[in-house]
Parts: sequence; structure tokens; C-alpha cells
Amino acid sequence: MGPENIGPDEARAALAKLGDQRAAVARGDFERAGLLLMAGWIVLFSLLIVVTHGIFEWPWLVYLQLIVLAGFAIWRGLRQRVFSRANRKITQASAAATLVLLTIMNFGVARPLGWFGTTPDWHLVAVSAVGVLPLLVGAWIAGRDA
Amino acid sequence: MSHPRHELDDLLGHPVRFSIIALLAAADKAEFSFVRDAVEVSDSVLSKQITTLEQAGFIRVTKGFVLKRPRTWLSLTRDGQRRFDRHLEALRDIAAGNGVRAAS
Repeated sequence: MGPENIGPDEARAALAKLGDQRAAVARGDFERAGLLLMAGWIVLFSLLIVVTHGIFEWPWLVYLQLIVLAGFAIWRGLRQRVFSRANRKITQASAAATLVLLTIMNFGVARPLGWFGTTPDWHLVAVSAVGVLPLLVGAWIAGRDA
Repeated sequence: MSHPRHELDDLLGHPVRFSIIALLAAADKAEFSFVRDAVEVSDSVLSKQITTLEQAGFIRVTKGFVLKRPRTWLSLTRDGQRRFDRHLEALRDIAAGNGVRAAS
């Protein structure tokens, strides 16, 4: 593929490699798994808050959350060998969108509708399930190239 | 007017080097062993090409540790990205059959 003798076929063959390498990066990157884990954990955590209300004190749930997040971060640090440029932006955008959506759901929808009482109930889980939608969309986008 | 092949980067004419740069263009950073496996070359071949690309200013090599395990990270420099984009543009022109285009 020397520059002097490259023709349209050689150029197309070289360009075709781009897709292969992009797919290799997408497969090796754990951003998609991270987004799915984050979405699942947010819903599970809200469920834990509801189910364990009156059984566990708050700090224990917070410790549990920190242990899960730290565990994933360590596992990822040891195993991940490539960081995708596109996926980092997708993660940042979907995490920010989830934060905004959760805030709107909690304070703009749940409270006015009277879903937010002193005792956590299943509304909290429903609000979380809606709030994580941007993370799921982000995971779908991140997985397209893989 | 000039043929787009004049815009091609000589260094990227080598298929292994092109694959390495194409991989790094999609990544923030990639570990040595990942690039080796993805490009399907031996450690020594990759080391040689990395040295060439680093000396040409295409890539940056950083060494570090993850829990005492040594890691060599490769990433594309800003200049490398710019040169690769120009190379791709020329390839697209050639692939599209645009033999001659107005010189910029």
C-alpha cells in the first residue's frame, strides 16, 4: 500500500480496516458494561431502600453502594486494556441526562403527585426505573460498534 | 491541482502502522497487549513500529502500574490525529475516483 501505487481498490481496502479497528476498540471497552451496571444498580438500590426500610440504617446501604462501585472500579482497572474515545463522551452525556431526569422525576413529578413521603415506597423504584433510561440508551449506542 | 496521493502520509503506507493508528484513532488510550492482539502482530514487530511512530510524533507512549502490574499505554497525539485525518481524506478521494483535486 505504498503511496506511489495506491489505487481506488487499495484505498477502499485501507478504509475498510477503520471499521474493524473501531469495532475492536468498542469490544474491548467496558463502558457499555459500566452503563448497564450503573442503571441496574440505581434501580436495585432504590428497591433496597424500600425493602430494607426500618431494618437497616442508612449508613449501611451507603457503605454497600460504595463497596459495589469500588469493586467494579478495581475490576475494571485490572481488566480494561482500551478506553474508547466515543464511549467516554456517551457515558458522560448519558450519566448527566440521568442525573437531570432523576432530579426532575423526584422533585418535579414525584413530590407534586404526593409519591414522596417519609416512608420510601415502590414509587421510588418507578422513578428510578424511568430515570435510568438515558443510561440504557447510552449503553445501546456504546454497543452498536461492538 | 494535485493528485490526492500526494496528501498520503508515507509512514501510514505500511499496513501495520496504518492499523495501529486506525485503532488508536478510535481510542483515548490502549494498552500495548491490546494493540498487539487487535493488529495481530508479535511483541517485537509492534515495538519496532511503535518506536517509528513515536519518533515521528504520531503517538505518545506512557508507562504506568495498575496494582503493581506494569502497563504500557499508547495514544494518538494531536498532530498524529491531524495527519491521520489528512491521510484518510486522501484515501477517500482516491477511493471515490477523484484523481485530481484543487490544491488547498
